[in-house]
Amino acid sequence: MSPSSLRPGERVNLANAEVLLLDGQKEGLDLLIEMFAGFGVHTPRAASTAEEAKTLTRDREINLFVVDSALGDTDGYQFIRWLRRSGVTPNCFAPALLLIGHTKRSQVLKARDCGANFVVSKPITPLVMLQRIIWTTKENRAFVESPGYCGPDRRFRALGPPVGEKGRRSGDLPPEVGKATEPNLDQSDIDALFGARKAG
Amino acid sequence: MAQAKLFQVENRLAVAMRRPGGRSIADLLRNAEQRVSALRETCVISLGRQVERMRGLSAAARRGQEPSALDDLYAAANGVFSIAAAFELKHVAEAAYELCDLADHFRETGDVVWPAIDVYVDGLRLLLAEPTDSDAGVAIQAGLRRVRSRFLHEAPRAAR
Repeated sequence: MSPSSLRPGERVNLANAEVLLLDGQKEGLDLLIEMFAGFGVHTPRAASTAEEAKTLTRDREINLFVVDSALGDTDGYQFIRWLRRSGVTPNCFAPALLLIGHTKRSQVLKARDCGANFVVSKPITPLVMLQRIIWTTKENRAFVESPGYCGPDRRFRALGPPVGEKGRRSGDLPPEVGKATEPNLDQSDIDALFGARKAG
Repeated sequence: MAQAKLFQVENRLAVAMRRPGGRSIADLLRNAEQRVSALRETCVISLGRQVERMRGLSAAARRGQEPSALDDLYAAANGVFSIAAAFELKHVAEAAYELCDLADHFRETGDVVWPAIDVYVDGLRLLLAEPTDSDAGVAIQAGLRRVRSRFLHEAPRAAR
């Protein structure tokens, strides 16, 4: 799905969605609160530290986490990593959007691997935010739990493991095609596959 | 090597959003943009405070009084970038982003050139007083980039 595929007339109901907004900067948090209020979210939950957010996560069922990478007491990557491993169900499986401004070189991989559904680069406008929210509701990626990663599948498309690497999943097939184990179909067999057949 | 466990989870946000009612996307965007715009003045004033805070951090660091000054300055510059970019203060956002680049570079090398930081902080103060896209703003930004290029050889990433 293209991120720019919003249809202006489409109806969206965020009134009852439980959204947790986490930003260490007061103005950034205010901006998110107003944006989500504008989206019709009845009561956006707001936190400026990971500790506050953890308390809210344990106390309420949250449908969407919107987490800035810069927090007062830790960073957004660590919070999302905690969330995914927290065992607080169903919140630990909820969609999480990670908002990033300038990203330190050392944190590029952290952003990819923390378990967020999407990493959204600033500036965050209402259009960009709503696109990503709707995107998260329409994607159907599996959830992955492994010793090194916990979160939505980082493979957006089923292209198999990287070339030259052995797959880590039971369903990963090697890129080499094996030898045929049966004779090739002849043309009449192929034609029969495409021909009209009586149902039942 | 341990196998990854894959499973499907219910997207409860999608469930919540499918409930009857709601409003059109065009309405939601209009409402959100109006509410965000109402914060503009307060947020722009806060940028001035953040820049003054950066000046204080730089001065304290030079006196050896603030061991975490560079980290704090980086965070403050990142905050300025976030707010300035949200309100389309293009020059301010770009300068703040470049200051983040510079601070991150100094953190990696462990050799902080505070005068270069000060030039950026002063540049941000001037840019805050300039209307967006003014000639003076363009000139200030060009000067800041010359400072940056003494330490960082790759071109700054385009302002987003």
